[in-house]
Amino acid sequence: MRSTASGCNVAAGFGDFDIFFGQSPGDRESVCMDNHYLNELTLAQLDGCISDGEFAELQQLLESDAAARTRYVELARLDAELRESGGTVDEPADEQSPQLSSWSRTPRVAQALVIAAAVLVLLIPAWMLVGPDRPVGNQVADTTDSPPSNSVRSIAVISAEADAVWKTGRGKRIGRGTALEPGTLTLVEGLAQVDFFSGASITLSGPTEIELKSRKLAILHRGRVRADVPPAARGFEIQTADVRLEDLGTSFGIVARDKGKSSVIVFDGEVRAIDRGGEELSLFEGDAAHLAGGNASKSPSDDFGTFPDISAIIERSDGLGKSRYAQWKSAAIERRKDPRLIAYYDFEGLNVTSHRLLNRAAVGTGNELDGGLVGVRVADGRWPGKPALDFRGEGDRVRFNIPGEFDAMTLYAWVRIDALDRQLNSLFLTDHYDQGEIHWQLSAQGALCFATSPVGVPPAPAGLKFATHDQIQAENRRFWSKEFWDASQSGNWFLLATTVDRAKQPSLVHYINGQPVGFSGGHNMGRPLPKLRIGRADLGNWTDPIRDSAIRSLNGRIDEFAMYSTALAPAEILTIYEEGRP
Amino acid sequence: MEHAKPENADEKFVQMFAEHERDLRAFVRSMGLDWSAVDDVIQMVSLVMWRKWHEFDVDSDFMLWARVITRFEVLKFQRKVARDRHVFSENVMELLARAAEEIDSSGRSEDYRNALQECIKTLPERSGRLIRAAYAEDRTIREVANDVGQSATAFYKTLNRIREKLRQCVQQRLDAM
Repeated sequence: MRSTASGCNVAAGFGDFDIFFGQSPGDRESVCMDNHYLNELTLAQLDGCISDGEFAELQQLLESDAAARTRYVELARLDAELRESGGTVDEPADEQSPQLSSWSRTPRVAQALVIAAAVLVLLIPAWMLVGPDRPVGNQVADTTDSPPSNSVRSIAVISAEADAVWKTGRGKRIGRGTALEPGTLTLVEGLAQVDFFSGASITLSGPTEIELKSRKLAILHRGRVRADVPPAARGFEIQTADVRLEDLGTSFGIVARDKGKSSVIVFDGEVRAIDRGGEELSLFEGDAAHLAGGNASKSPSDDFGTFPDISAIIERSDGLGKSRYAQWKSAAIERRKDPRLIAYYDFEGLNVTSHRLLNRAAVGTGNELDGGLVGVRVADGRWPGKPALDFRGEGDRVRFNIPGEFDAMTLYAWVRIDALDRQLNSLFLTDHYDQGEIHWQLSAQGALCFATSPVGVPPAPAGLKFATHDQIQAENRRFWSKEFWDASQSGNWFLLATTVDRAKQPSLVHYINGQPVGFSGGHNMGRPLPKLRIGRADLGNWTDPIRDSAIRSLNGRIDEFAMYSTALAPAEILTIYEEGRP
Repeated sequence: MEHAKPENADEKFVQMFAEHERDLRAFVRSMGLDWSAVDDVIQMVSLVMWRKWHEFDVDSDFMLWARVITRFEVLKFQRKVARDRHVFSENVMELLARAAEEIDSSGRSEDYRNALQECIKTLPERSGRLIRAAYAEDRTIREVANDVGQSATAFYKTLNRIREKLRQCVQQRLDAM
């Protein structure tokens, strides 16, 4: 809101305060300040139309009265938020121009910085980007070429798949449950069903390459697709090289071949084919047409091949899931015997009455290392019937007390990340953060993070909420993996693993799904590590945080967790992945 | 050994800054500055933070760090403009900053925004329109008052009443969380 002296002037408009506010000047001195008058003064100051006398009065009030300051801050905050939002309720983003709308909502300064940073990155010489202490074998591709953004504008979701093999860029894994943003989807083999948020659903038969443009539009480059369009999604379009197919409700199949040739068959309802010249051809149930050279012409419905029924195939693949579960289980039983384990939790046998997460490692102190369940619920894990623990509430956690000091360590967990709600999201955090204690967690940006420090965080001095961070800041060893997760991966299971060895350089390697990933950042990564300790710790949460306000509860599921007193070799991590992938 | 600069540290900074810019602007606003001063200060703050970004501890709270820098920049700014009209004394600014920190640290900014959204929805239609008219466009109170057929005084009075209603509504919702 713009204000000018003439446009907004409390005193001039109201003439006499005593009449207007029904209050004598003497009252304003009273201890119990009249909130209405305080509001008037505060808002006049915020709107830039306060008089000199009023300003002096407001300043004095703020100086002497804490409640007045609180009120001032509350109104200033409200004013700021109203100004940023234009006083309106947020509407869903315009589906036509998602990028534009998210961009225009970024505040001004940040926009300028995005541009500035982009330029800066280009100016960094390539040799600086490859530090000597970076581990080799970056399997997850770099994502720094995409603009930094947390916003995901999905238009569809993979709702089912059968023996599907996808071709994906950027090291991403997609599968059932993956939300899809506009872009090209390549199914190499198998079948997959994609549900658009408009309600339309398509079944792809590999090999198929299709570009998802919006909730109501896809471009089939090649391959075979069956579309089912309920009345609510009427108007859903599939385009091929030069023909548009508009579904007027119900279903059709389409095959795109090389050289822009394609064929369409209508199973049910009506489809309108519009060619390059704008000519329309209506096709009804049982009709078929060839589409070539920009023209659509009716033809007998021969030689279309089949459009397989995905549900029948999924039933078959359910059996496959069961056999994978069995395969993992036999591997897990072997794994228990590994003498290098500190503790091993396979999450088997959990049910609603469980209070403990049993340590299955054959070595060591046995049930002393069992975890205590707090708030978490038992849910399905990687396969139907495989127990997992579901972490959702702010209090959910599994409590451990693991004694000992370690020169090397491996942590791995099978984790389904539903969302990264917090700045940092706990996988396994020791209470507080004392000398040598480990913190294993996920950043909001989707990186796997490990930290430990040769000095701990000192207790907060009396009267303060948190301690100073100078020393810990200088000493903290932090290792952030390349960012591997964003909201489109929500619901997928990942094998997250980190190996640490004080005697090695680099001392730490992060693994995602069996593959080592590089670092996106860190501090003091080349300096010696302290002996590693765990002690009291939480899976999926953080007890006794270094700041009261720090909340790092996990939003997701875990169905296997192991700690070793050695750094497992890359091949061993890969085997754990191969034996356990969903 | 100081580790080589993480390659996407700049992007991380931009992302973190963009995420919190709104809160920082509200914070500066809470210390009594007008909007053009807020713009100036935030511009300075962003530069200072960028320069000091390598000092930031990712395990610590971004807003905590940002507020320390912002406070310092606001006070620096205050000294420059102290003799302008209607700029609070350093002492009052410090007190307001402390009050803002206490209030902010007790809640997440998404919660605030969600609460405000909900409260705006519960406004009578006419009140909602007035708030939009006042905040959506860059116009003076008098112009907006003219449009809605009220005197500037009466409009301003109504507007203040709605803002107080929203303030109460938001605080109640936040207390309930």
